Amino acid sequence: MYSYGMYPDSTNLQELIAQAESGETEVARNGIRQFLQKHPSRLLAWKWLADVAENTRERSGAIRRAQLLAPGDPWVIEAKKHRRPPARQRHTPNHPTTSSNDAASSTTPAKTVSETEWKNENVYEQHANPVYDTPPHDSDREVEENVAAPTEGVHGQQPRWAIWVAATLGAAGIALLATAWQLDSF
Amino acid sequence: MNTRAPRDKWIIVICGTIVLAAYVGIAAIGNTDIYSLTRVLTGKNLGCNLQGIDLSGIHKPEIGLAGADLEYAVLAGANLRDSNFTGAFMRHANLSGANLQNAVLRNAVLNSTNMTDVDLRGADLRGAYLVDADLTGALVTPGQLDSANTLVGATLPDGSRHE
Repeated sequence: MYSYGMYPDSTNLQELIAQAESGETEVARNGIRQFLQKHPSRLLAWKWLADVAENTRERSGAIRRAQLLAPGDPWVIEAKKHRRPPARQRHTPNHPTTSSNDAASSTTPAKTVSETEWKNENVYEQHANPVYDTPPHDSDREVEENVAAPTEGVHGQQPRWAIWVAATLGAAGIALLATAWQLDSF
Repeated sequence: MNTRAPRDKWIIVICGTIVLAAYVGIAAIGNTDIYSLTRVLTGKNLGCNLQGIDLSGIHKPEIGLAGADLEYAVLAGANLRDSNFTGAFMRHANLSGANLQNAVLRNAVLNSTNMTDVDLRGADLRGAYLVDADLTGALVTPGQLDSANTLVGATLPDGSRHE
């Protein structure tokens, strides 16, 4: 379907973002697709895939995945209001290129597309490739392209580091208790 | 076979207990449950996939749908009081007129849902995401809405829009 041969080990998201920023959209898109196959929980990558998406379906799917990872993220909130992919050639200096955590970033891609046509659609197929884990769109019609204003004031977002710490501690605790159980400590 | 001293075993048990307590504490501080935790970390829902399911008018109180993927589900007019939707992903779901009294919607993603005239009396909305949700005519208290994670763009019960 897509040739990933050009990207033998596309793990450097920052390079891909730089490519997208410099206007190499297609190269960046394919690289991000490959990157997301290996790192499907990277919010920043989903945001950038939405920004360089080939079509509205891919963009909507990327936004959906971003919303799974960060339902209250300001970028996601704005992104889902607009459905057209952004202009292919552009330079956006405000894009985050150094964050690897992606938590609740409001400085991610600005131009967005809506997904209002998703409403009233039924269950859609689940694909093995996360890039295509999207509901179908009934059309690809042109709509006005909007520039999303940065949103502020979303409160109460859970810090991602705390979640990771909690998960690690929980796993460690369970492992320790399991060890103790095997040692007949109870 | 078991050469470890009893004291070592108890040290391990105590350490494990401390770590578990720390986990519970962090989870409580972060208002996190295992379903939303999984979703945030993996981008996938832990519960069953019920995308687009039509349960309109169903009478099924106390149903357990924690962590379920209920995106685009139709639950209009359903009686789901006392049900558990903890960490459920309910984006674009239609909950209009549903009875969700005392339901647990903790950390649920209710972005862009149609919640007009929904009965949320006693429901737990702590940590819920209500971005662009339509709560027109919903039976819900300001205190409940305040406990939600975000209400950006939501239409409040009185018809006003939350900024």
